[in-house]
Amino acid sequence: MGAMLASTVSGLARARLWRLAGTAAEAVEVLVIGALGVYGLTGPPRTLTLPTLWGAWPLALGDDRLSGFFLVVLGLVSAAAVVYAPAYIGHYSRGQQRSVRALVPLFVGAMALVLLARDALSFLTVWEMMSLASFGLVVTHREEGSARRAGFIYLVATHLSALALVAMFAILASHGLGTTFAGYARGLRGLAGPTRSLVFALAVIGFGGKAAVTPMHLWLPRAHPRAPSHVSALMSGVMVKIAIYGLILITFGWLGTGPLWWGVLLLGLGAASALTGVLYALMEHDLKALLAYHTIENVGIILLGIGAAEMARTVGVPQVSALALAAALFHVLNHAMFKSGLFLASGTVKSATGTVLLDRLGGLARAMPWTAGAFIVLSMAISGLPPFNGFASEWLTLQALLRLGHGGLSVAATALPGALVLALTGGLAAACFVKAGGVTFLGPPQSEPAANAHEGAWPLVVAPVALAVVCLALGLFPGSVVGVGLSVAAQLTGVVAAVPASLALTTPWTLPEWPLFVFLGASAAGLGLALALRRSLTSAPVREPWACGGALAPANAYTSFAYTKSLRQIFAGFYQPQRALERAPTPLPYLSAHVHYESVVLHVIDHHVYRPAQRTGMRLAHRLRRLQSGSLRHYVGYLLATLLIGLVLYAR
Amino acid sequence: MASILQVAALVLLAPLAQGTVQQVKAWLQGRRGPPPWQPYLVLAKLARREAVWPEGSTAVMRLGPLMAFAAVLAAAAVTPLFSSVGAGEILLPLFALALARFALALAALDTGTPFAGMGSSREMTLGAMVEPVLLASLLPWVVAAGTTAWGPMLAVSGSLGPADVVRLAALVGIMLVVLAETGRLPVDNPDTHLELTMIHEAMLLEYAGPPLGVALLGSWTKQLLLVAIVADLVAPWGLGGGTGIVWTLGKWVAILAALGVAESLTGKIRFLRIPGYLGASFAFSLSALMLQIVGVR
Repeated sequence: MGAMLASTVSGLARARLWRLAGTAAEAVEVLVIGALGVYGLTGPPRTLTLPTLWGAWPLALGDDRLSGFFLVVLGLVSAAAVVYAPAYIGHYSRGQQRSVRALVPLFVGAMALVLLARDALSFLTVWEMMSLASFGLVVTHREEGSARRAGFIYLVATHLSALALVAMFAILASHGLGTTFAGYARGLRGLAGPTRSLVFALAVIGFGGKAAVTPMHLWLPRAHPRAPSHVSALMSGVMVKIAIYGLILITFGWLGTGPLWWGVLLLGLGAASALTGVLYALMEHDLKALLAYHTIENVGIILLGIGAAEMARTVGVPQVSALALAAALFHVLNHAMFKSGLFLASGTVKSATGTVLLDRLGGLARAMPWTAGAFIVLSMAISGLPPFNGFASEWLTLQALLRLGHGGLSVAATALPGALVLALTGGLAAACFVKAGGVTFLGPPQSEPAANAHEGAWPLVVAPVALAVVCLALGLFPGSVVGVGLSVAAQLTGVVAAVPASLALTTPWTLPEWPLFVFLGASAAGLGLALALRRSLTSAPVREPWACGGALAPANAYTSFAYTKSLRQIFAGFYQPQRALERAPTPLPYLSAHVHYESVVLHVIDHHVYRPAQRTGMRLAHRLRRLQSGSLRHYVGYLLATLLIGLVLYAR
Repeated sequence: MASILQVAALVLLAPLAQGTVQQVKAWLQGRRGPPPWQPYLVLAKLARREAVWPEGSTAVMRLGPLMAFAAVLAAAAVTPLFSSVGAGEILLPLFALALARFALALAALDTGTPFAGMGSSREMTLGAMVEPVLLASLLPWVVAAGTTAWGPMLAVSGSLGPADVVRLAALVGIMLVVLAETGRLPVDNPDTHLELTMIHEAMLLEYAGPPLGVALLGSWTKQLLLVAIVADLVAPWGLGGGTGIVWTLGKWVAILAALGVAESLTGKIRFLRIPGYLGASFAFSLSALMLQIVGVR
């Protein structure tokens, strides 16, 4: 807490010495968060006492395994961000630098406090602090109209979800459960069914809106690309996970076993988010917007795990429920690792070339080999390919979903399509990242800045590379993380589940250790082959590529738009592309003087749900303006009418 | 260890498998055709030649075929090919094959040519479509066994009758998707020389010499691995050492011949019609699954 305050204050200052102190304080903050995380993971739930330095505003804090897990995630991502940030914002204007340096520690500290809050009022207070800090960071470039609009939409969306949370806490309080989390954990199971379903629904709306679950995801692809890259990493990597934390806490910690539709709802929302996110990501040609849509997809995958856990709990297979919850938590960690790495790498690209538009980049692998290597490794991780961590958590989620195929017809009818959706999104994500990585780093450069790029400063390179290494490590040694996830689930639900024997293949671990053996074997084979072919690989001649006999121009390379054209056509029912083609004719029938082609993908939910709702809302607001007549007599009349109604209704 | 021997045997037999399919196709076309060991001669020829790299390509292109080959080996290591002791499971091979596709597709973009880019785009699109359908074709066995480990799945398959309707439906479903995954007609013509009709070969156009040999051997090994998986799941009898090896080879030849016949009976379908074709495979697999769940025999 003290570290957070110190680095915020020093961020505001101008002098260089203060800046160094600020970075040091941020580092201390990150270390404290990490320590709290490990402290929480080991042992029973505890309350933390806050020094009364804070004054007349007591925050109730506590630490337990669930909070500890998410704190560790926060600590890892913010460690990378702290290393990355000073070099990245070096080219911002003074004012922007100061605002970023002041707000980031506040943001990180607020997220940590949300994880530690144990009281409804404290929770809502620090939640709001987190939202406001991130809003401030999203509008860092406030001279750009798009940034301001994105910030406004983000502010509205986050407050709508906060409204649902306030309503939920209000309902809990009105049923006499008080305001402490411990009270909720004890008392919520005893409430009537419809009330619990209402609380569940409000939790899904509130936390789902913050986690950008479809259909409440519209703010994320607008807000995340506008923020500075390390802030995008923090927001995508951690902030949406804080919302997942809230959802898990309420569903598994407080509410008891619920009806089947809870799990079905979560699974359905997860599948919808996963598909929506990856399909729109395929059509994006801006690297950061593409990554933002992938966050929506991965939140969907996490929800698939949570939904499977809920369904398993309802059907009465607690082992599968614990497994699914551990899978979802593992994916939380994994996504934080690779998404923040990808955002940081794209920030390095931006600072080297000034753009993140895929069609202006190209050929950066020669100038920026480390960044390219990290990006490609992280792409393989996010596409769920072995031996990286994305594969491990998707494998585990698939295992949970496939085991639910045994649980009766209605459960199987929901879980098995979920598994198929997971496989489909994995394939589509791989296609999207081959496009993103290939068009950015490979092929000929498509513009001057791309041709003249240099590798970034060492902090900009070290952070993504370190995260890529972590992804590989987590993929090769998944057993320990899954064990931790199972212990979190055990503490949360109070059910200690033994791992089903059929899951253990070669060892008693939850995830067998063949990832490591197979990886070592395959790498050995690959290295052997490379040695055998070393002359071909290193000293073979280099010639012009085949371009039907003519010279190959940079414009001949496949663009981002062309790469996903066939997917656009296959999924045309979803995308509803609007095409416009104009040709200026010449006397010859096959030549045109000028061609204009435009293809726009419609965002279905935006177009058919939100815009009509917005128009209706504005129309209603206009009608209501007639109440503001400006006449004093009318206003006095309103006061008397309200008083009369109040007396009639509430006088006893 | 036994699995290393298994994998080595798979790699050594893969060109022969390719040659078998070519021989069957040649006979159906009324030709004598090259002998079944022709692919070995092709690999020897490529090993003698010199590799050439396009201008502007990076290490990604040089490592692509190696990585793809290593991924196929990893997939083969956890699949029971000759023995019935299934110590592996089915999901890792699926995803390892996806890794092989990713590596080759990324390397193709390194060339900077439009043909390779087009091949890469089509291959990744096809891969995305094939993944759920391939998983669906395995579902009848996975759901009944309650696990993705090979042992229980083989037990489920063994417990059904030889001409069980579940087995037949699953066979059709998985054969259709294996035709797509191995890049054969009606999805992709492996013998075409027209770049605009290529899907997999377009990615390999710029390779020459030993790296091309590695890429070809990798795709042949993948083909034989998929044949082995089909043989295991649909006809699990005769797994085990000794006479089991003869049985297994016999099954493989039968399936390879079936692939050759299936290719010769159809023409290539338009790329955008492939989702419809895969939908047919999905329908068969789904019927097998439902029959399995409902328990109709």
